[in-house]
Amino acid sequence: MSPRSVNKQSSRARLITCILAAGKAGPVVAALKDECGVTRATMHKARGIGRSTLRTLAQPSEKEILNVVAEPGEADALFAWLYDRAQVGTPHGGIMYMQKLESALPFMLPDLPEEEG
Amino acid sequence: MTQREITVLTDASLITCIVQRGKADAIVKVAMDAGAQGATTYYGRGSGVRTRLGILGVAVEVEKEVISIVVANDQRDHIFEKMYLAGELDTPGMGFMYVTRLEKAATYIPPDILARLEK
Repeated sequence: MSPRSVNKQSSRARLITCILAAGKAGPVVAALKDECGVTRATMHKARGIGRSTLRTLAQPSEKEILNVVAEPGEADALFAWLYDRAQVGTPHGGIMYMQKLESALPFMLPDLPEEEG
Repeated sequence: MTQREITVLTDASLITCIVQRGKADAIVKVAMDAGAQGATTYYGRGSGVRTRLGILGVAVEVEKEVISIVVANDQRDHIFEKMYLAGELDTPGMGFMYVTRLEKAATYIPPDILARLEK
């Protein structure tokens, strides 16, 4: 164990996961930082399959999974913001869910100018 | 931040299943047949074994597939069991799976189903 102290948050943070169509997560990650000041967001690629309206299996399609760690007091508002911003409430908009975390660390970025482009 | 009414699902769980690469599609099909409404699969990297045992070689792929499925709590155990059996997870090296409780989930709910829920 390291002798350095770990600055864990006392109340339980939340993990919000959004499963979105390909190409949707990148702009949301950027908006999270620019509009909400949230930096604890990551995304990765996946493939998804769901049921079509005819009750048959749809073809697998490319998806993006977005993970966001939210402060306990802000989690519900961030969940609603993501629901709107990622258009989860539209047909084929994906699904999102929220889980309690045991603990979470803050993620602070160094004070450097933004990269261009 | 905007605030508007969202219909959230509260009795839902997330099944996560980690298996060797190439095994996920068969498990997803079984889960869908058992009542799951959708599944997401992505790649990962885990532990592997490559040993020669007599004539037959035993190999466990290091590359993994991770399956995530959101299910209603009342279907959770049924789908979990079907996936376990389909993935032969009682065999060493085949993989493992777990369930986590979701606080809430949201997705598109067609208006006719929403009207039925609100009655």
